[in-house]
Amino acid sequence: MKDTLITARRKRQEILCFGICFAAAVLINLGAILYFGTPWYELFTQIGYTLVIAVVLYFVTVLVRLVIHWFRKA
Amino acid sequence: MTQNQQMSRKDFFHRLGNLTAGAAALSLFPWLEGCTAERERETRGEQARLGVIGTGSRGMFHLAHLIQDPSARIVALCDDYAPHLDEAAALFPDARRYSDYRRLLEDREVDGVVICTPLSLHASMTVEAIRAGKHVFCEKAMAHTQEGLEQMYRCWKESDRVLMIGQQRHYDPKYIKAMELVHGGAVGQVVGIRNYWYRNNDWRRPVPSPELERRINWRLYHEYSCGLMTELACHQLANGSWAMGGLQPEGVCGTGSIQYWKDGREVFDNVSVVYQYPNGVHMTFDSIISNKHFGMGEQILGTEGTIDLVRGILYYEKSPAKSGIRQLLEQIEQGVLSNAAFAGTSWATEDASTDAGIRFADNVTVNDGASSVGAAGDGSRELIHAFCLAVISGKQPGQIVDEAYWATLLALRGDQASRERKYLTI
Repeated sequence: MKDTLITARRKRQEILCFGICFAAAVLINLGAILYFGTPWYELFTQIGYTLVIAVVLYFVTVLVRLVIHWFRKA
Repeated sequence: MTQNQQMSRKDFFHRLGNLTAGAAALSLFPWLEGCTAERERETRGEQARLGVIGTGSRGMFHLAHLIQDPSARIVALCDDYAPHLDEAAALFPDARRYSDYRRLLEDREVDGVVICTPLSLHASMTVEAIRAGKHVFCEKAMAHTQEGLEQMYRCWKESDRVLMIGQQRHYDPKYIKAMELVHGGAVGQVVGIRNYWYRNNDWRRPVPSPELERRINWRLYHEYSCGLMTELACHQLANGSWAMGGLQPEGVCGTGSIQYWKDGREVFDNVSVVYQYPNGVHMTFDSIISNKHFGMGEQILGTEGTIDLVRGILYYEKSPAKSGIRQLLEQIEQGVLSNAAFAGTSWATEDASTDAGIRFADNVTVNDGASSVGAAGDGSRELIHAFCLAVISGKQPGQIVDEAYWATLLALRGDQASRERKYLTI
């Protein structure tokens, strides 16, 4: 098995990508609060759901980028 | 085992103190005044000298509690069936033995009597005991007939003696808590009361020789009992007036039959009875003794929730509000599933709520129906202890006779309605 090198640039890219996903998840939660008229404190109390949605979105972006990468390579 | 050995006053204080913690509870359930910590202090060091009439299964059940109660002393025992009397006398060798209850009533050392005889004897024995100057604890139901019931009630009312009836639910902590919840509005407006009691046994006791059949299995014969209505329903019907704040039904209809246990019995082995209150609420009692799947149930149905009295659980009609994000995710999930090929039914079984409910009572024991004597922790111990305190203090616990009077009246009228298959006014 060979060593894998993750560059600082790549790390910054991934952190930024996850940050965008997290922001999107917060927006989804915000939208749900507005739509269903539930209390504002759910922005904090439902942070677990927000994190789960952020992780799911992040993996979706990973999947999309992998597909694009394979196409370009092919 | 010696008397007074098994249970300390402290233990009673603990159990009963929990029951009578609040003034609100006492105003809702005035009979609990008879077992407050204050009453315990007032009677400390004194004992009620009791005679037990009827030492069969229920009598022995009470004796098992009384032997542990420091405020009770059993001075006399009576039964006209020698094997039962011998069994009880073995536990209380110092107690005087009688085969005729009238002799026991003449015993000057007896302050109060505990009557655990067949139903048909309750009224006459109670009346004679009160006239003999004794305080009386009589097993439920109060009487076998409405005339007996009225006579018993009138006799007590005109006397200064204590009368208590074996409606143990009135002293069961989980029922008291449940009724506090009902009266506090936890279930909203009461819109129905549902009682059922299912067993799968013949309700018979072993008979050593055929001539004893009617004496031992008295529950099965009209001459002595009204069957399921007076032996089972009477307990559950008391919940109705308790939950409805003293409002009583104005009418009853019902039906019943002997469909399975065709063994010479005269009372029904299944009944269904519906009581109607003046405000339109219905209370049902349903019993079958050839299927026990659903066991027993006593439920107060309200617009906001349901209370399962037997199991000590409160269910709300509406689940607590879900967060916005959960509602959104559920809508997405439903949207995905509704597009699937297998979905789309326009009708579905209306299942019972799957709400787990909130348990408001601990250490709940539910009688599995195998025993027709009583269950541990069902309030019987507190009830008989309250009687001992009442005998010592001479103070009648409030409203308890009226509650029992109505429970018996409803049971008797329900039995009559189911036998005549008519709607009867109460």
